[in-house]
Amino acid sequence: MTNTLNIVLRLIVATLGAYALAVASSLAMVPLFILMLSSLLSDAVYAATMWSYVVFFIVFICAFSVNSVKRLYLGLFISCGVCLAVHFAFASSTEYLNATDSFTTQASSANHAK
Amino acid sequence: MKTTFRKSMIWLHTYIGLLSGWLLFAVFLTGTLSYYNQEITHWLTNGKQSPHTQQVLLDNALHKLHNAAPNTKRWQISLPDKRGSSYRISYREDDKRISRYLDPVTLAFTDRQQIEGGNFFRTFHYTLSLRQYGGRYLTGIAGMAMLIAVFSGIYTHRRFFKDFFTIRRQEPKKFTIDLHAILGVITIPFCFVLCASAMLIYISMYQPFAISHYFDSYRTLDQQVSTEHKPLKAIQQTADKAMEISTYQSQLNNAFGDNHQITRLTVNNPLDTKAQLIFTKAKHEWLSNKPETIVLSRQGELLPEIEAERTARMVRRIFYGLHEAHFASPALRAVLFILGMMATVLIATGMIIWLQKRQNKQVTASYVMVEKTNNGIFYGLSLAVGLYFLASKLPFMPIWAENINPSAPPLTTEAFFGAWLFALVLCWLLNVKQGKQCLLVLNFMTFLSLLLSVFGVNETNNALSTAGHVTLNDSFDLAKVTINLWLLATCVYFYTVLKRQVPRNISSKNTKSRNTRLRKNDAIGANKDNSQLDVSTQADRATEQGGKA
Repeated sequence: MTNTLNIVLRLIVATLGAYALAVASSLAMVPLFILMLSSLLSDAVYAATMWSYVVFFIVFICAFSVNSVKRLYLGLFISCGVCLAVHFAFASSTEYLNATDSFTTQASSANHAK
Repeated sequence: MKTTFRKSMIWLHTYIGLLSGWLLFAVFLTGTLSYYNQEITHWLTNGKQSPHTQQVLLDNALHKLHNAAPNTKRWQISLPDKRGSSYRISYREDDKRISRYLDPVTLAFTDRQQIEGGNFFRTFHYTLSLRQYGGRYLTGIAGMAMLIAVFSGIYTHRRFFKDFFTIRRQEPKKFTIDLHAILGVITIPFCFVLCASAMLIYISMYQPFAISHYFDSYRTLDQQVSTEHKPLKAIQQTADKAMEISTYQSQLNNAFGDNHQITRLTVNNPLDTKAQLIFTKAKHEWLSNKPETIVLSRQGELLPEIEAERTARMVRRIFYGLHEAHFASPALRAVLFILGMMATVLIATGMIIWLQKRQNKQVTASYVMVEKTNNGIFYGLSLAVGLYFLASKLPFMPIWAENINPSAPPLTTEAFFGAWLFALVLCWLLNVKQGKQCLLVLNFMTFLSLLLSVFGVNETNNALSTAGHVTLNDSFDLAKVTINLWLLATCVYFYTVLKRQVPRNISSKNTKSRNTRLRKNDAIGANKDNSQLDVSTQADRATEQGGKA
């Protein structure tokens, strides 16, 4: 593999790949925050969006420090897949949707009551 | 990538720095200037500190609003402070927001043209004057690039203590590297907080997907996480007498302390008996960008406090507040300003080091191009800032006001971009050394004339003082003194750089060129000579750039 191709491949991971994983992770973190920290939906979305920058940053650094390009792509696709799996697993479960519904109504009613 | 993690990081540091260096330099310089946003405007418009108490100012503004906008739903009053922010009232009329400025001394409306002043730098540093064309995405990318550059820089210069205590003044090349390392070590936390908070401010633009998946828009999400005062319902009953601030003074003293300062008063349903007054305290020692407020009814009863926000929103508020730094006292503000200038110099020295590392190889067209553009961007921007100041200042000078139509708008932004472009073109056309010297002279002249303009205005001030408007307070105006001080420092700096460059031209012919000849063949000797001199003076420039205001 030539040096130029190597760099171009890594650059793709560092920009597009990192951004894609950041988006996927922000989607995946929302149900995780709700389940594990029992936060409100709005807070979970807010926090997940903020944490996604950290994911971007880590992927960017990895893109230029992991030794083999093959491993880099493999890791990227696997983690993207895991994130999307988490997202869709919870998005389709009715229990979770009900929970978020009640959370949102609670939050908005709390806002209105004040 | 490379054999070790550290080597990969060095490579990354080099190229991410090279690619984003010029943009980052512009963003950091203008961003640092906007620490003095209000001071700059105050200085440019030759504003005056108010001799009146806040109570008088508030009552006057309420009176003005009562006459000007009796049928509107909301009044807003901004009060001037020691930093020289403006005194104005605003309200909404036919879906149009109207702001009118008041004179803090005479308390009457002023028709004097309001200029953009320091606010231009604030908006430029995140929109690059390309708000409609994705300027904020560009600066977002630059912010991320800086974070990555800082992180990889830690690995490049890993020996913190050794780097910190090493400075080799005698050898210009090594001096630049040492300076870069020292500044890097000092400004790591500063750069980290600034860049991270910059990314968080435009969170809904840079990462909109999770938000749009769960909510209609960012606005809906924001309404759920942010708390605000619940408005009082108007009961359509006009109150019989006008509001007076003295009614609320004791409540204000209880809530904010006796020496409090108020920056803003918002009045909902102003004429109704159920009017609601929201007083906002000045943000001293207050990190979050959510202001401290108290709400009173027209009769002076304390209404329920604003609900506390939950952690996620609070974190972003605090980062936002840290970025804007409204909390900073004059001393802390100066420290932040110096840190910002250090970060600017850090970026500039980084670009110079890139050149130095390639100096011993063949001098290619791209090398010369980078060198010329470096000069054009760095000195060009300082020249642009100077000319922007001058163009904004001119209409407020007595000579201008007497001779030229004062209603003509000053061409301030045109001066800024024109000067910058001119400097770049000049650097590209002339050879490296000539271009740099030209710009140095121009810079020095611009900042010197700015300093002189201060004295010119002061004389008229003294003449006016017989009219009785100027108080003792005005002669020691903190905001103006600050700006004058930084201007003086900038002048001194450009003077020393110029002075150093002139004798070196003669003496260095003997010493410097001998070294280069040893390494180089004679064909590029002359050209080389210039660039090496250039590097040494650019390093000198870096030492005192903190003074560029």
